[in-house]
Amino acid sequence: MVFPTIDTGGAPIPLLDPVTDVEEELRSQLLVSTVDKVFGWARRSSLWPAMFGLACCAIEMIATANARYDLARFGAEVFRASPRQADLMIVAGTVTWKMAPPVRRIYLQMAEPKWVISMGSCSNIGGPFAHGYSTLPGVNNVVPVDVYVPGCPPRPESLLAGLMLLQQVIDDEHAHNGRKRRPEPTGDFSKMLPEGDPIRAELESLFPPFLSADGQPRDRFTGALPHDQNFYSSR
Amino acid sequence: MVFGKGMAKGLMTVLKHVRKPVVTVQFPEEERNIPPRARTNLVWFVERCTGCSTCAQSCPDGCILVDTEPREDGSFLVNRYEIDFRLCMYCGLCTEACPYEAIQVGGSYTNVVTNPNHLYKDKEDLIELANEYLDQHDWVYPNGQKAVQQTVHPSERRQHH
Ligand code: SF4
Ligand code: SF4
Ligand code: SF4
Repeated sequence: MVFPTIDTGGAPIPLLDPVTDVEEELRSQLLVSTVDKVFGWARRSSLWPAMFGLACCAIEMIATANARYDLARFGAEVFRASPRQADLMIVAGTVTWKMAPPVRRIYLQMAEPKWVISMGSCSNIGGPFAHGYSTLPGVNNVVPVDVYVPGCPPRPESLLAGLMLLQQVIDDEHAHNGRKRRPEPTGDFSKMLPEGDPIRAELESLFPPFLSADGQPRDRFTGALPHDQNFYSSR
Repeated sequence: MVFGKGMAKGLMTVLKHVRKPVVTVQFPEEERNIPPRARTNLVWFVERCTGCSTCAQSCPDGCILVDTEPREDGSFLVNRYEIDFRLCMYCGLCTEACPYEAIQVGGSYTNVVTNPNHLYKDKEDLIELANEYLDQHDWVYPNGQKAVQQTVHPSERRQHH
């Protein structure tokens, strides 16, 4: 395994592509594709969402998990409070600029493979607050989104339809050699926030090359700053 | 104080619910009847629309676009009618404002997409959606009025006017 390194001002950090790439011929072989199919089946039948209610849409998300609509029928009932245990992020509600860095950080903290459903007009494009100063114009500016569910709030049926579409998307991924078709966000906020804005600085530090405002390299997968090396030796 | 009293109470609650009917709606197979003015997608009927743009002016999000052109008889030909469903908040203010009930709530609510730009509907898309709706609902508009079946291709019909 080769670790490509980038120069981060004297502190090189190893970079490893999060999706391990198996060669094309190997992929098309029977065993690998069958195993992939089983993996795809397992992944789409046990999507564990991260608890992520940001505004009014969360109420409909909770209603979807209740007995009448019963998200458990799709194997997605376990709303996890920890991003480490979740593989689906349902962004349910208004993403304000203040909340955008935590959204990005929680997405980074989730383990691969991970998927994102954008629920409601607010997270799709800003919704009723699209012309306001405080709302992110679409959560796809900070995280890659697989499925968009329109509505304000979407009915529980709409979210279930979104979940079923996501299951198809996961199946398609395995038919297409594990390639995700969703576009990655660019991490360019120069058109939305002014120069020197603290939120812009924080957001940009959560995109490659993961440098914090003072030039410190962050952990690529968690967005965390490295531990202070002198912390233990000084005591 | 009796040992196990709480447990017996809990079991009684469980037993009480065993006899109640199941509330779960098996969604993709069966659908719940939704109230007539629930916040579902808008359906726009070109044969009812006069192009007055009242809907566009009443929309707080500005997500309706109407572009018209006067005909000789003084009525309007609707060249463009577009709704941005990415932005729409399904408040229904446009349906309340429309004097001819040409735009009504009651459409589908399962139009999930993987590309958000597919939620932007232009005139042809909206006509297609309206025809789909009328086909499924026995040619009755969401407000209960009967549609004339010949209005399948109203855009063409009105041009020979
Ligand atoms: S889309 Fe509507 S219901 Fe959902 S969070 Fe935004 S304002 Fe609330
Ligand atoms: S429902 Fe509300 S937001 Fe949507 S088009 Fe009508 S007025 Fe605009
Ligand atoms: S208010 Fe009604 S009749 Fe007027 S342009 Fe809008 S949909 Fe057409």
